[in-house]
Amino acid sequence: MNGYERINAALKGLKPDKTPVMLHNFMMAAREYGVTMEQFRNDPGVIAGAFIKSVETYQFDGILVDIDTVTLAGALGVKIDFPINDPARMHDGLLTELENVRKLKPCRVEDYKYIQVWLEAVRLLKEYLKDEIYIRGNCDQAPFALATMVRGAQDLMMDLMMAEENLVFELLDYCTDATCQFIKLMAQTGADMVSNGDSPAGPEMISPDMYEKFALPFEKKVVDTAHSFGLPYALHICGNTHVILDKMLLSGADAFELDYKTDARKVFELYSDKATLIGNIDPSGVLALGTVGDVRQKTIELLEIYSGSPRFILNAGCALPPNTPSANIKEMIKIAREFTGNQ
Amino acid sequence: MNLIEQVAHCIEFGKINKASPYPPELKGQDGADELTQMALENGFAAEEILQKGFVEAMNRVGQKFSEHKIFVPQMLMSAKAMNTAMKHLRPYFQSGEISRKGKFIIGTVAGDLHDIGKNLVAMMVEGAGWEVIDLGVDISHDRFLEELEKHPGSFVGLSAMLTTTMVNMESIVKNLKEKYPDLVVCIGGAPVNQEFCQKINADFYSPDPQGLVNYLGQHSSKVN
Repeated sequence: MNGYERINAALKGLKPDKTPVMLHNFMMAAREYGVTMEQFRNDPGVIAGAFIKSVETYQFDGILVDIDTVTLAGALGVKIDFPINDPARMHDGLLTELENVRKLKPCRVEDYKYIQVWLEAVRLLKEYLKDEIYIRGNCDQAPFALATMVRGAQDLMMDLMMAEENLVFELLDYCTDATCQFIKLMAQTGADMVSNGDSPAGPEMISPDMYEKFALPFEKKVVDTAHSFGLPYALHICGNTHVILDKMLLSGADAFELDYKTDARKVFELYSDKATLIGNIDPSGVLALGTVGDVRQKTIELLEIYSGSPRFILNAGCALPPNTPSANIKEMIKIAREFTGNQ
Repeated sequence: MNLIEQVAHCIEFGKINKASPYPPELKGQDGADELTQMALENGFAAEEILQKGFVEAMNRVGQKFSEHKIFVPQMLMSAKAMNTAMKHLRPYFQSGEISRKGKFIIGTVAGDLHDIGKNLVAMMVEGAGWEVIDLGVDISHDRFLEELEKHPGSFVGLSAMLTTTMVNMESIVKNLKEKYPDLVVCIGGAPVNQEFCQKINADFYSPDPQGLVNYLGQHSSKVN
């Protein structure tokens, strides 16, 4: 099987010939390509080049095209700061008062420069790699996560307790429209799957009941949009998600990208025959700062847990720091390729 | 309930002031803000209000958060209630009538602009009787060193929310401890864990603010 076929099999619950590997490595890829984050985010050719070089170096199966985590927020008018050597970031939300959600203008995500760069990068990758390597076009933030950026995370948390609920839902609907616009645009690039991050909706921030009320219904709409274009969908939530794993399944997502703090055993219990796990090696403590021996141990542990299910794609649990040692990534992939327990 | 118990109740359940609609069962009633002022006007000692009103309430809140019985929104409401009421007690800290337990310098590390966790920790540590110097976000080791020079003997807290920025904690810890070998550095944030804390030679990690409050309580020394 080639990389595309391996990831495709894992998403469909079919047995791949080897453990499929996808890397959340955009910052590492940019560094190894010799470009700054500023150069990376502004040039689709540079983005594509960095990922192509990364695939050639490490021989993994799926590229996660990720660039910044505030691109949709920027498209909606949130003020964004663009450091030369770090990902873009935001300072304050756009809405100082939640009531102002009614004054937000309809958004056209496609008019934002950085969205177009992102889409073009995916087009270039698909054109070059065709059906050899699987291309996951990440579409930045899911509606709840995006709402925390538009309103400001702390303010939205207090809105959930104090504000008129209809206003919160209006904001979430507005953000759902933005996320779905990005999904639709990404579907036109030829990407093989799409995804979003919704980490502020996890139990590190809000209760399972709040997740069910304020995040899940909007995740479902986004998943349905992806599926309407025939695309599989992955949902990424960081942190320990044990208490909402069952609810997350209801989103309809085909795959869940989970962080190292979520015990893969619990995921296996609930998901092994229903949805694909993408993850979940510790990107910082193990892959960036650990020894080759640490990487070997943690990778084998994870592969053994998931050896009973084909619904598994090995990855870091979240974005790899830029200075992650090449030797550690090579070791993780080597172990994955040699592992014979995945039957 | 006496006034201090009412202050504690308002803090525990996030009732900031009379105007706040939350929680629904206390709507229209005085909140932590008004009740703290009333307690002072009625002759309750500032230290007693702090300990029995603020600290005990926030301990209960912190415990509930550690046990996943409440989450960030509820904790924020409690912290806001306490923080709003704290303005009535600050003059007593300044005069020395209430002693601070120590100084705590906190910041989100370089490259990271997330502050919700840091803000919660800052509010809880202040509520526990510490002087908190909150440096904000995107803080380099130089900035921490600047503050340590102004406030010797402080504890330091580093926060990070991203896997790509938490690695910056390593160099910050290294730089701080090169200049201050006895410095105590505490770390926290969603992607961080105990193993990482040990790996980067930080002194303490807690998955929640209450753990840090308890740890600092074991190391406090009264300062003016």
